[in-house]
Amino acid sequence: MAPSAGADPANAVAKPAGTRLNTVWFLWASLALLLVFVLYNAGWEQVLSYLLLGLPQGCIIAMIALGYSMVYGIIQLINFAHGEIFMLSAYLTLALVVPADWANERWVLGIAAFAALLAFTVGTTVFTVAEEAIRSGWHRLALAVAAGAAAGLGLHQLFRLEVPYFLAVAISAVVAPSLGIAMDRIAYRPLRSAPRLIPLITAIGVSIFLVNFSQLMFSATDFRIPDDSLPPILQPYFPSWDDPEPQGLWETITVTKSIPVTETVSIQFVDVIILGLTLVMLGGVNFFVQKTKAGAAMRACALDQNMARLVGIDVNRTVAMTFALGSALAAVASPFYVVKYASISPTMGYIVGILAFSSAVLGGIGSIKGAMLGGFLLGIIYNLVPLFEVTADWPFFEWLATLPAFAGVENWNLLAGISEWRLGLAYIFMMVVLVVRPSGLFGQSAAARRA
Amino acid sequence: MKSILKSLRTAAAAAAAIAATALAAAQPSGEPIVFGVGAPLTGRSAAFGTQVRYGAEAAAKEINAKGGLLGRPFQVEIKDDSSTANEAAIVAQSFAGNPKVAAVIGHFNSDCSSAAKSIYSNAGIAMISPASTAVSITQGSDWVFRNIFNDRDQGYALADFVKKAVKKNKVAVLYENDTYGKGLRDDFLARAKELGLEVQSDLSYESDATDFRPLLQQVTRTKPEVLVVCGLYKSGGTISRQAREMRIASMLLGGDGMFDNELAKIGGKAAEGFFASAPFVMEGAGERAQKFSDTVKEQSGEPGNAWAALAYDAVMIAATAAERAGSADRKAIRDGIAAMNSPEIAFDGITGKTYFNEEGDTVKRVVFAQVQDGAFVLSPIQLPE
Repeated sequence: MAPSAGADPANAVAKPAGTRLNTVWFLWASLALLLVFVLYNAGWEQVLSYLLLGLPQGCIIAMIALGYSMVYGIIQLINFAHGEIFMLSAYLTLALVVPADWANERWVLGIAAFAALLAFTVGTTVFTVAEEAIRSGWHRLALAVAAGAAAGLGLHQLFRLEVPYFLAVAISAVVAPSLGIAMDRIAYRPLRSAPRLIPLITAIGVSIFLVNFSQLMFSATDFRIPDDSLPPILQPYFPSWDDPEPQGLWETITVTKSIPVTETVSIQFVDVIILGLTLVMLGGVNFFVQKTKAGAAMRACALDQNMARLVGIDVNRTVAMTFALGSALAAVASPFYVVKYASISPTMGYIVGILAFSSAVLGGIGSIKGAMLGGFLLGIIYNLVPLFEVTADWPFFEWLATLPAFAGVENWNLLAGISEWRLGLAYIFMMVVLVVRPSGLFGQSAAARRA
Repeated sequence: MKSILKSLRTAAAAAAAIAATALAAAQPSGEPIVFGVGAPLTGRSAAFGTQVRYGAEAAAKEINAKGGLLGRPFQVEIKDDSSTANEAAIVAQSFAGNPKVAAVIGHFNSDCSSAAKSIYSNAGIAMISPASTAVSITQGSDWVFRNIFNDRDQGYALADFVKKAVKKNKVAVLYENDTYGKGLRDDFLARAKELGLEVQSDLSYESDATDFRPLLQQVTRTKPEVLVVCGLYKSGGTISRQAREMRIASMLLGGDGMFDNELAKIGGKAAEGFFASAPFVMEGAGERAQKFSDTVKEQSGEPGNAWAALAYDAVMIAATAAERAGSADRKAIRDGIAAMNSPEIAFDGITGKTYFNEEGDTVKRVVFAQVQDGAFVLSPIQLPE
């Protein structure tokens, strides 16, 4: 949320000159050296193919990371329940896309409970956003909107309407902010003046509550949006065989649903969509925060809440808006994450949430630019690691093998098994960065904040 | 409280069974003979354990309908080990300490069998596991048997399948980094070396991984004919999706950890044609298996699958041993089971002829299943005899 980042002159003055800057440069230089080494040995096409795997994942992590970062920037709260908003919006998309299975009693009860939850959060949202209006007798509006939301989901289920996927994503992006706003209104706002540890523990509590609530609603089994319910452009292409014999023949596979980049590397449509969507969303958020009046209010609250209140900014509403923005981003990311990576389960938000939170910390928590860069970096490192599995045909190792000193070494796949370490290595990278720059890549130190 | 209820229920079921069959056959009388069944009725293998219960209950019903065991009423006492070694040890203690229990069927998970085995051995009571495949389970004890193949046989069978059944040569291996995945992969690689298969890549993944694309990217470099996945069905389903998405044309092959229809559910169209080694495939196994499956459905509402059949066979093996020995003594039953050591005097069950080697392992053929139209069926391609 800080208005500007590392290059800030105030920042440079606050720091002890020289040494820290050198370590940062050392870090970047060694990374660049490693990249050149890998590019030379593995060939740029291969590196590109791994980068293309990492990029969409980085996009999704970045979108979630932004939610953590913005909320932290404005009220210094790590909202551990943010991953659960991500999870609930995946369920919402699923409920919209897949017609109800009325034979399944559990599903019916689950949908009913879910509709109740949504009605509650939407109602709370209207109360929060239109507080003054409510005082003058508009409370009927809140009730009406809440009832409308619940009835909408109920009717949709009753008539077994199949909402097209992209429309479902849009609806969930509109509805999900109410989860964030209600969360803030109920769990965090009453604790605004409490010590920082208290809302933090509350956030963990909210997270545990939502995971268990959705486990009760939808059971612990995994769901998947059926391939048939996806728009054709997102449907994965699977070659099919009438009999098992032709399997194993690589020539029988044809290329579809992807755009060739080079002769051997191609990028899938779904990745292009994720990439485009992320750029649009992140650009939109950046524009909103930097150029609009509401964005200016957010930045003012991030700097000094009391001062912002004195100049007439409604702090509570601004905070609610921050939650809404983060939730919308998570809601857009989750259906694509589900299509591309994992099935829908109550715990899906936890794992992704930790990854996104780490990248927000890596980029400098509180900084929008940092969250984006951190997400991309973690996603790419995570996916680049398996590149080192097979190194025997790398020119460097072939050259090493000719040296008499290494005559006895037969297996030049020195790092075989490293892919198990990919998450570990991503975190090690984060730790190294934090040792060098404790406030993250784009973060500001506490001293600089006050300056 | 729960266990009291459970044993009451078991007793009631047995009583009902006895009452129902009293008119049909010679009425069994005297002190009942009890077999313990340790299975995971809750926890991560609950679906498997429930099938074990169905199989054991069906066996008990059948024995009582035919006049009981040695003329005495027969009961199975089912206890939940909830897939954890701790619980399994507690269950084992209670069976071992109960003089009425003559033999034990169980446990399901290799970890559980491992924990329970020394307790049964010390108490001198035979156990037959219908499902634990870890090689070490039967080693170092005269009291432990299993009527399923072990992981070594399975790993060898996978390599044989590649070389002799589908006649391919170039393979890539993906394995889950746990006891099961690693063990299976080690045995597969050992046999692959003997057979001269070309192993092009050998990559591992964490148990909770969801994105296998970077690993599969390595696979695409060498274009193997067969991709062997040593792990469990959840990752298997995801791997098949992502592999097909990345246009990997390799044949997909896995161990019995893949043998669950959930794999086809997760993998969708991409899982079609997935081969898995299996202890037994109910579909297409003949009339007797079909009849058993129907009987289980009648009794419990769910059709019996391979695990129910294996549990049924395990109960019947121990019962046959008692019958042949003419005694329900713990030692006599163990000797009777150990005596089934050649094809001629094998027990002929639903899952085929079962006999044991000196270790207590079953000499049994590994069959292969294949996903067709969203479910595992007996594969048209099998290992040559």
